[in-house]
Amino acid sequence: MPQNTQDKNNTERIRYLESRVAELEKEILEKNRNYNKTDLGSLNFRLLTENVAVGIFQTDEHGTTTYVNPYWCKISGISYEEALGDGWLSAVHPDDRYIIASNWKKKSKEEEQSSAEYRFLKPDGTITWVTGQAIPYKNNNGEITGYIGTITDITQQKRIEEALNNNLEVEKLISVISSKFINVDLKRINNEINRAIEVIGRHINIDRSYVFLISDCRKFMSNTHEWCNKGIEPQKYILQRLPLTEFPWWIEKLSSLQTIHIDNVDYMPNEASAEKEILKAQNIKSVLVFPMIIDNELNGFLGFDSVNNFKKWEEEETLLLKLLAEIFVNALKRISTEQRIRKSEERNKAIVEALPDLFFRLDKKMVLLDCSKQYNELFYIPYEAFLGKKLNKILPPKVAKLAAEKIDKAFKTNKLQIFYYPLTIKGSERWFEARVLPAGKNEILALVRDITSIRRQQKILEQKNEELERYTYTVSHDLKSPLITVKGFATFLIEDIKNNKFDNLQKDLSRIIQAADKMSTMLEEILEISKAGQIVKAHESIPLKQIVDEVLNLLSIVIKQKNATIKVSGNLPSIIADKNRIKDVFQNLIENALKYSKEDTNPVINIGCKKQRDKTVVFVKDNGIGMKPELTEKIFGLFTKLQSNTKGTGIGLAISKRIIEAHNGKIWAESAGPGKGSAFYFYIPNVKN
Amino acid sequence: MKKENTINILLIEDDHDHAELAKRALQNLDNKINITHLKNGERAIEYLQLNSNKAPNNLPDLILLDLRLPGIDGKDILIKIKKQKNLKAIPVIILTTSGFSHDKEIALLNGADSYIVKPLNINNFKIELEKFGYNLNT
Repeated sequence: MPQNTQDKNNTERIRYLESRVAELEKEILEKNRNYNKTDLGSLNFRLLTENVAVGIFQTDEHGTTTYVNPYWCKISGISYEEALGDGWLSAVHPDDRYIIASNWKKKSKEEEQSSAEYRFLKPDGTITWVTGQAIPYKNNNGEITGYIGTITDITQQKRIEEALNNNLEVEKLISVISSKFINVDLKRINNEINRAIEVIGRHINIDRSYVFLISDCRKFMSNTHEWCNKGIEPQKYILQRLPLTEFPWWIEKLSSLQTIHIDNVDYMPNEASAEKEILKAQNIKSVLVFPMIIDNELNGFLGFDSVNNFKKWEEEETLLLKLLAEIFVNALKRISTEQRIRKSEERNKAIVEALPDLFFRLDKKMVLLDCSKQYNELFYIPYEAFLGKKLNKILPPKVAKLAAEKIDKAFKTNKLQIFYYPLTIKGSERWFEARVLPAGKNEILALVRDITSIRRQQKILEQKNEELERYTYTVSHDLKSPLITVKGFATFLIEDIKNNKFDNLQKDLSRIIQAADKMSTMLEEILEISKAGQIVKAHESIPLKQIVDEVLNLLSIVIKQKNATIKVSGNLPSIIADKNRIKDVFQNLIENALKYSKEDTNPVINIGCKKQRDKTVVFVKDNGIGMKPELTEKIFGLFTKLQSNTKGTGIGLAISKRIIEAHNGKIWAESAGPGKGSAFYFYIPNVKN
Repeated sequence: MKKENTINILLIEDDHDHAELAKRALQNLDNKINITHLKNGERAIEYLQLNSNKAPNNLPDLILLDLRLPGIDGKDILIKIKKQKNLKAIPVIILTTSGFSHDKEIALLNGADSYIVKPLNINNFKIELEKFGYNLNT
């Protein structure tokens, strides 16, 4: 029954009783007037008093009882005889007796009309609440000759009032609890729940109140909070990790939002036999359980057990207690949401910190709202200077235009857009990859990554790939050349033999053999060049002067033959490198200088070094045949020679280039033109002076 | 157009074996063949320019050009020939080791009149010559 309907009924009943009492009083007074000085015991009057459903009493002028009607006896539980004199006081509840007695004495002395509410304690132990009224009646001289009074049984009314008061108090308690839960956080919630179930448990004088929460992938439930009244055994430590499957009826009922409301465990339905057994094992007689549902899923429940007595759960009380369950649910829900948000924020923060990206938040009008502060050394302009500004006021026009286009597209398609752009930061060009995507309807999120080094690596890789392609092309091309010779002459030989022509036989066969030799030399050199790209030995600090001397020693015979002059500068540095490889480089360069000397001039070779910015560049210069400036790059190619009549396959410079590049250095040639000599330069980083 | 029976060919080839192979193959033609063999691009250009200025009659009827040469390579020689007013009419046949289609495309794009992969097959070569209007006595 809804609360207000019951309230209304109660109020109506009280009103009815009050009006009834008033009527009777009126009646009595009326009679009193009519039968002035007439004894109440007179016949007609007696008939009335003995049949009316109101307790009536009469006293003398001293307040000593002289008459009680049968209904009075019924209410008080004592007999007519026992009530006479001051006997009636013995029926009054001991707690009310003194105050009633003293008040009665006082009032009657003051000769006033009086009323009081008090209790009778019947011999059978039941309590009856009454409201009593008494008025003096006087003789013709105006002297009080006695009192006449009524008592009305208001037990029912009192009980209702009590219940109402009780519920009101529960309501108050719940509102207090509710206020405590409004801002409860994870740290305090367990304490607050424990306190709340205790306060409520005490107030409704229940034996046990508790909360269960479901956990472990919705498979188990555990008693997480419990309060037990005095003398009631706690169950919390036994009721842990109970499989939900053991309580099918219980869980099913709660899951479908129903309250489990059991006044007497014995009358639980058959399908709840498992639950009944468990409750009985705990000596529980009555139980009231409310589901706690979060996001349509049963998250736990709030329960109240009566162990000592059977308890009839009043509707009113049930509704109020249900509120408590709702308070818990709301708090748990809020906390779980807060926790989820916090976790997600923490995760996001971790992601942002872990990613090597700058984060920018922009609005639809391309105004920068916010950004991550890390990697701020990559900011184009300082943070404070760009916040709140439009992109085109910050970035160079070209970049701003590109970004605006992509952001616009991201909004239109609602898809991630990726673009690349360069910015000059602290004097050097850096490349960025920007990923923009709409976050909601009015915001854009931009993740910007510095890809300068990736781009650089990519360029290098592209170069290497190109080089490899060229290399493969050259190798296959150059290896094919002797094969053509072999095949060509062999074809002629067959023809000649057919025609019995043998003049060319020997010459052609030796050409074939030479071609085969050339090919095998080339293959060996290819192997060598692939080795040149790897640094076999660990780098060591080596004085270049010493290496040059070793090479010159090695080439002393050729130098003498060519009548060459070699000048080695004294300031050659030490370098960190693979010694034997660097030796190969010098040998190749010096041999080259000797090989491509002018026929009519004695070779002069200068070996030294010069400072070029922060690098120490080593050079080998000659006064030889030189070359056209446009050919200075080509000579480092595989098997390329400037003259077809010189010896060798032309691989020396290609090998040298590989070696220097494997040391992260650079090698190049310069020449003023044919006949004007050549100069070869190289440097290797981490040169020691 | 009928051409004279003697064909003057300029062979630009750095590999003497390959040059020898080309010369021998060309000997199998019945026509009178006059081969000038030059081993690098610089000399070939010098030769052509000299003739075009002083003795246009000595210019070759046909050029056989290798692509991979020391110094200026075949492609650049080709470009130079085809840029020069007095020379560009001379048919240039690329004679190369490379069977890569990319190389052929580049050569044709730069004005090569034909492209032959080594070694020179005389029967194929005859077909090429007929294309250029030579009446071959076969």
